[in-house]
Amino acid sequence: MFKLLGQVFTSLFLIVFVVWPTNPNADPFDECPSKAYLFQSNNVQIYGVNLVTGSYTLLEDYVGIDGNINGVGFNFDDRYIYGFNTSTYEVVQIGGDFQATVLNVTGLPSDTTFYVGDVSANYYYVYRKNTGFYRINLDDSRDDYLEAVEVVGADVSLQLTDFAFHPGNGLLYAVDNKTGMLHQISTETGANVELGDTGETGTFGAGYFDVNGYYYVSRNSDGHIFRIDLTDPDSPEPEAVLFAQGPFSNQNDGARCAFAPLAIENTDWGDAPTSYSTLFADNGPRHEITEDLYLGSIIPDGESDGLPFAVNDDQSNTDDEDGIGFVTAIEIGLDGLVQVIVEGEGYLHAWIDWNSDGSFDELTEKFIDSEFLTTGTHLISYRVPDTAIAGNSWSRFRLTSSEELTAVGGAPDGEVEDHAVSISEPDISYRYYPSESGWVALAYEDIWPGVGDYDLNDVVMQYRIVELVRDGEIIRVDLYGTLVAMGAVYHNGFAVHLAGLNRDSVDQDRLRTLFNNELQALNPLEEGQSEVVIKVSDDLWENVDSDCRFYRTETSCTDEIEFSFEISVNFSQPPTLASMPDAPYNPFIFASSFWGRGEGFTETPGRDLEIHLVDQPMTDLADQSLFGTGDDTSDVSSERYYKTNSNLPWAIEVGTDWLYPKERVDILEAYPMFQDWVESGGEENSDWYISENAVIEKIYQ
Amino acid sequence: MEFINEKIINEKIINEKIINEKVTNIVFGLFMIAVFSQIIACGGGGGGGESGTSQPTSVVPEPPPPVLQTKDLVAPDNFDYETSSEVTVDIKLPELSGRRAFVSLFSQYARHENNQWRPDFGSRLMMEKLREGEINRSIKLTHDIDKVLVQIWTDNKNDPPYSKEITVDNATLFWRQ
Repeated sequence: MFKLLGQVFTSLFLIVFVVWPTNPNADPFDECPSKAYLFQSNNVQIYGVNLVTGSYTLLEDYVGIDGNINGVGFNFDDRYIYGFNTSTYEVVQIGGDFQATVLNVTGLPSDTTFYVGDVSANYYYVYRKNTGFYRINLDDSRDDYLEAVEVVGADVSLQLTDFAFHPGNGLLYAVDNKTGMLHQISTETGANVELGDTGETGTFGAGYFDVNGYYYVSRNSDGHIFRIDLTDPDSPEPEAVLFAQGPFSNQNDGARCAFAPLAIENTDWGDAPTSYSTLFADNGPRHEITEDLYLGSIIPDGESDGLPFAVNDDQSNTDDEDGIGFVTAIEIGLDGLVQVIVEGEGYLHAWIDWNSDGSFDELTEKFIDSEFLTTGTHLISYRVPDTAIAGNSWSRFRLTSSEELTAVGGAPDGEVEDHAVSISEPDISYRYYPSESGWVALAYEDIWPGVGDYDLNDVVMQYRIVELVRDGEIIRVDLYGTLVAMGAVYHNGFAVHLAGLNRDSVDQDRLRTLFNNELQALNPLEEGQSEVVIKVSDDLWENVDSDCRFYRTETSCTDEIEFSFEISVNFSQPPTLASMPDAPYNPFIFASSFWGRGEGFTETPGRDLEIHLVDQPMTDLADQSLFGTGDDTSDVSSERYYKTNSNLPWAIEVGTDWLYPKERVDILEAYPMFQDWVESGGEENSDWYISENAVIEKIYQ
Repeated sequence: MEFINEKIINEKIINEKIINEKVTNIVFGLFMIAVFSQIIACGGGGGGGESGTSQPTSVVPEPPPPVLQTKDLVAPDNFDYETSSEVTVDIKLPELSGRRAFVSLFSQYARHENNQWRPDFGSRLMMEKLREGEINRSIKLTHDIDKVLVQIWTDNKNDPPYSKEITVDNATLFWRQ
């Protein structure tokens, strides 16, 4: 609601100020600024504070008059900042050039200073405990211009150092420094309502609102900026959440145009799943990008928000997650080493979700606490707790100039990197296919047993396998996938067959399935099979919400990637390395039930119809009578599967994440080297699929 | 999807959506033929204005050379279309015998000014603890990988890693001392 309100006000603001008469003093601010202004020191200095990250810059070191200016507030109506010179007991006006002009205000008690003030509706309000609450008219068209009027009967018992106006209801809010209680104050009567405990105490010298109704208070002693959720003022949530690390000072006051949203720019974000508080809405970790402090060799790229899920930081922009490497296995109860590459000087803070509960516990899961590092490559030792749980989990690393930092909230500099980790019992080996975070692509033509148009994009699935090996046996397999394209009208499911492995060898109680990083309550081990078949989806169209006729194969379809999976298969009877099928195993698509399949089928074939990679067998649930029909020349007796009479495939595996052909573009047009690869039986052009060999205008990107 | 052979539309198919889309494709195809014919028809008459004459020509356009399509290819009978091959990692460093040390292989990495190797940890192909200073493990490498970086870290943070770059030119990645 406040967002809308803010837009309305912004529009009004633009209209009003085009025709508003200029003040005879310094020019006003040009706009309703997003930054907060922090007034510190005596003589006063003005800093611009980015509330998102807590970063700040000195904007003015002398405002043209001596003294400390406090109790500042931004007047939306004339775009000046008003404040009180606590050294000379005068009200001042500050223009867009940050120069102050003394105003001849009458009616305030003499020889009395004010540290608490803010502006609303062309009135400047000041407050002092046990002294009074005053309203000063700032509208020169009114008779009482610059006259201070005491709000009679106001409660002046609160220990305040700043208050701020809510942009939605025009009421004042403040945190009592001594009690930590949040108060709502009426400007009409000066009466206040106690809204609840913020959980924090201290001198909150500066308070600001944003247009959405969040209230930010800055604590002088440590510079912590807390956020209080007043987005629905009828249901306030008084808890103060640590939001960012800002500057600290013993003389602090803040002003901000409350009708401006927070501006997010030049900011680095994390990309762990959302449960780890990755998004801004969850106060996710974020760092102002600085060229003199970061992890790895590459200055981080900026994003507008956290990027959890399949579309993570590296897939969206440059590969800047290059500062962290686990160089030893993360073995329960033993010491591990992590390599950290640092540019600049700062403090490293890091967490591992040891119990895989989807969050970082500050007390038990922060494993590197404020380690000071300088430019270079460092190896840091840590102990994996005995209570850690074996399995896939997440880590978070934050480098910043601040010695204090949690796993969430803003930081004024540095970088955050989130990395998936595997926690294991001792003596486990890992085999990654094709690599720890790389992909192969599985590309299917779905018109089998008829020959297709060979755009090989009817289903394109990025795919990865991680195998955990102990004493010559595979104890666990993790299957990862991301659906990147469906240039198909037909509906297809997707599954992976581990040929030769008895279905009973799987420990069904420990199967773990995540879709889009969310745990699923389903058993992916397909019924009715004698061997292990992991069924990911009955119909991949059900896994995306797209209006495109062809999903991500036509340039007109710009939908994002929407579906990823991660399935962990533990074995109760671990197969030996010799009995384990080779990567990529036997991934296949099958016809979805109830959906038509076009020519040659008088009824929907449904699950009976499977399409596999070349010479990979069908599963128990497939209808073998379909072999040898249409253009297919499969022959079970000679173990020939899914080939035409020219030995052409219906599905291929490609060794990278692959830029696939556009809709209806023959793969030969997109990758001319494919021809020699096929005709030579793989002897030539074995890397035909790398992006350097693609015809750019023929591929989807 | 196949858009060339659109002749069969089976009315028994439950999914009318498919049928509708097929029909749309045919209509679209006819439309495109019409448009394309129009383009060709227009092609002869437009250009050239230098001579000012408009004598009809009897040039018959050359038929475009046939475009090779994948369906025209013929692959060898035994071609398996595999995009990766198995290699054996065979490492033995006796000086690490009895030490807790971990081998990692990477497919992407860089060498920095000080000769220090910097692997891209996301490109890790395997990680395994040495047993008595050696390992012998088979892994599958995709065909775009022609070199790998092997690094071995002990659990002593003061030890720099042992590093070796190995070219993938046969079925064994060999490092023995």
